[in-house]
Amino acid sequence: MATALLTGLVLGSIYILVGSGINLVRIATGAFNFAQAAVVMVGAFIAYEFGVERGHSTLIVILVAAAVGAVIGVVTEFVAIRPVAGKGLHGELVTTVGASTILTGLVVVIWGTEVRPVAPFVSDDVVSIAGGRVTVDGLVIIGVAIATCLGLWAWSRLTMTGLAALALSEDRDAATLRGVNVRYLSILAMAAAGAIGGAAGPIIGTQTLAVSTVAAVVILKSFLVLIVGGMGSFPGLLVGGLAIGSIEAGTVRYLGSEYSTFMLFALLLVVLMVRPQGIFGQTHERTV
Amino acid sequence: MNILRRLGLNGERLWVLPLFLGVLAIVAPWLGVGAGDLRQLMLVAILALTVSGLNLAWGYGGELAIGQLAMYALGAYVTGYLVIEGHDLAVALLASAVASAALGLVTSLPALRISGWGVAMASFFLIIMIPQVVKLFPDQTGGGIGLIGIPAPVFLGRELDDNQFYALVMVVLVLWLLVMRNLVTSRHGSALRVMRESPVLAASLGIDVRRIKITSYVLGAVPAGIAGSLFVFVDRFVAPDYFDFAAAILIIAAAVLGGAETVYGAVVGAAILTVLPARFGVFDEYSEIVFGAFLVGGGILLTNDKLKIRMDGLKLRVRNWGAAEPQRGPAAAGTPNELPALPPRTVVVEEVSKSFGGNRALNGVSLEARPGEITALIGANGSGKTTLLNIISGFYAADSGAVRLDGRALPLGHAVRTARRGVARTFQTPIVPASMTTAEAVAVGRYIADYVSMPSSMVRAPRYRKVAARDAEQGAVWLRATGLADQSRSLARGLSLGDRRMLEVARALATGASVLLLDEVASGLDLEDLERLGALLRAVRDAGGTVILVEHNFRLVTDLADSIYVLERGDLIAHGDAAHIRQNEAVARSYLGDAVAPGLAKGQA
Repeated sequence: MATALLTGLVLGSIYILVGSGINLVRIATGAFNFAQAAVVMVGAFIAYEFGVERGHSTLIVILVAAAVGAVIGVVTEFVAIRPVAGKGLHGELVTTVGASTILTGLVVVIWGTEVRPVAPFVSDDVVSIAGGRVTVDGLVIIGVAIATCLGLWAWSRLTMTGLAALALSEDRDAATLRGVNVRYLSILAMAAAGAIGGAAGPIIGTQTLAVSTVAAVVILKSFLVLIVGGMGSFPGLLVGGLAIGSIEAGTVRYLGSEYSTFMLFALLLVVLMVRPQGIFGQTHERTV
Repeated sequence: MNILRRLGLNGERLWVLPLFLGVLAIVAPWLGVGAGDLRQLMLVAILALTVSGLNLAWGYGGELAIGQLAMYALGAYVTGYLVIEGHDLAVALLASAVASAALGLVTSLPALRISGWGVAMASFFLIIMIPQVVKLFPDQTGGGIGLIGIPAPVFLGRELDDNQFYALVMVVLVLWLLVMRNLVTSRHGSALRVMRESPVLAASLGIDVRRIKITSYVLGAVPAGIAGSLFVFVDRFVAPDYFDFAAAILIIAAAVLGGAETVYGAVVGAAILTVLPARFGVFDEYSEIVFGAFLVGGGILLTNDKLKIRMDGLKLRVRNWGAAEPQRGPAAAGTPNELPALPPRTVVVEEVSKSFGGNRALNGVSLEARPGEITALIGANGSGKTTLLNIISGFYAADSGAVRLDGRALPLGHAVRTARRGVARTFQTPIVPASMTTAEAVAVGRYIADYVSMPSSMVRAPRYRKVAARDAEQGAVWLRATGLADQSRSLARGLSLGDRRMLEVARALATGASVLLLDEVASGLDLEDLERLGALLRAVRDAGGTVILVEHNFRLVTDLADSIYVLERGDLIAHGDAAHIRQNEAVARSYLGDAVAPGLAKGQA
């Protein structure tokens, strides 16, 4: 029981880490960046390449992964988000799915489709908490996820850039008229989200290992967490992530792994039908 | 080209060309095409069917049914299971179509509450579910190993050889494309586009957005289910490996490549993405990178307005090719006087209040708009004019008060039901959907008033033909009345601002409404257009219409309106005819400020 809950919190923290990057971009550009989980996957492969193959220290691995992630983020912004932002037909979704597919393709070409190991981040020793068992790295992920999510929340509420981004997500035109630099914010957000995603790769990789198929599954579950918590809300992301992770781990533990996605899809439908704006989301009156 | 024209071919009848190609494809085995090529053609046809469903939902309806692969997989497994159980392929095809339609219905459920990409992402979820669902039913699906022992296809009691099965696949594709073409060229195609461009506009025409959204998901799922059903017999084997993420991407890439808002583009996209990997071995290793690049590039081109306008223009040229030119000159322009009589309706607003947060936009406003009169609402920015218009047309609910149409309360906050009661409106910025002709943009107003079911449109049943004839006839009345007759075959998007405003009026009246709400209809118009508009509105009034005008243009209002209401910060401050309002001190103060107003008002008096 306690083990399942801890496993769930670790899972949920993965979704929170990925979701933080998605929320950041969503607030600043309005786009849903489907490629965010693919950046994390690239980070995990960098952890394999630099940490396991070349034996570099954890710090180097994290720095390289963050730098690569930031570059991917900026390139994605220029190629896949800017040309289509706000033009309808779900253009951003199509192009970022494309970006995600390209990243997956590159990973397959460079590292192949096999599962690659990722070195322990702090330690893969198992510790016992309240009768449940979890690795030290698992606890690190939970801590990093909560810190990242709360940090970004504070950023969006307490700094000028964060407030400008929030204003942008409320009303793009009005924010532009008030002198908010839309392009600068968009690039900044994508670079930061890329760096966060890349740096999260070596940490998340300790749980998922480096494998090319992981991105699609993680992005969809992170999407579910964002829907449950309320798109664009960091507190919602935190609560939603921990809840969804626990539900998923509980389903695997008590019903069997083949029911987990089924359960999550049912949950998604229920949330969308009952409270489409999510737990912490807000509704707006329709305007003409 | 001349030969084609001598055969009686023109833009309207151009569909015989793809039909001819289709027939050619059906009889290909008996023309000596080899087995390897037939297999390729079959794979193209199956992918094209799947892509075509996505085109319907996404290209036309704007709903990115990204989980299309799941419908395809479901169709394959349903058919695989049924034929192993000894059922006929005809039964299996039907069952697959029904099952995938049901799954399409499930994925469309979120669309009831949210809009946009959230629905698309939810349908994406289905794809990562496929391997797990397959494992849940190992006896029916063969689990991870796959479904083996699929017998040769038996269709209507008769076992098909390879060539016959190939022909069946092609017949199914041709039939679907025919049905799809009939559907998207009917008013349903226009309704889908209206929903894609503006759910608000759709609601104002009485079109139930949720229902048509659900329909687009369900209808788009059917060809995918059928394609999956047919795919079972290509290798006589089905396994979850066929339905991975890359396959889902392939479908979207093919749609983007062939042009999502097309009927035959699905075949082109499918052909390119089937033949390319088969021809180039290296392609396999880099396929994900290439497909991803197609998505990025395609997504950018797809949302490129200039390209879209150019493509729409090209499509229109093909459609209009060889057709008689529409009438030009004064004879076609007609006079607005020939409007059909409109049923008289009275709108009464009773003590309506509305706040947004702490901001009181309307404060117990009452007014009456009578048939055969033009009633104007004026006031400075933020006085609550447009809010009141949005309440009457059902887009906002009021906090208190009521609006009555001929004594019966209107369903405030329900735009679709309000529109169906015969209340039509225009918008501050004209909403004119892309890729529609002026005639189509007006005819879509008749979607609800003179409804034809989708099945009837798909097979062009007698009922469809009758209504299509009425569309042309009734549409022409409003096109003439608004002076748009000579542009009826042009792209509506390409019209001038004045013409677009006239188009909105024509579309609103085409719904059969006799209450016409106009939201700043004169803004940005030049003098000539203003005169046209004035003549049209007078004609609507004289035909018995109830016109409610929200307007900044004081001169236009005093020229036209029989009854004027003046709002200031949510309060009604004056009411009367033009002469009365012109001399009203409170009105002058509201418009010109405290310092100037008193003297001015006295001076005029």
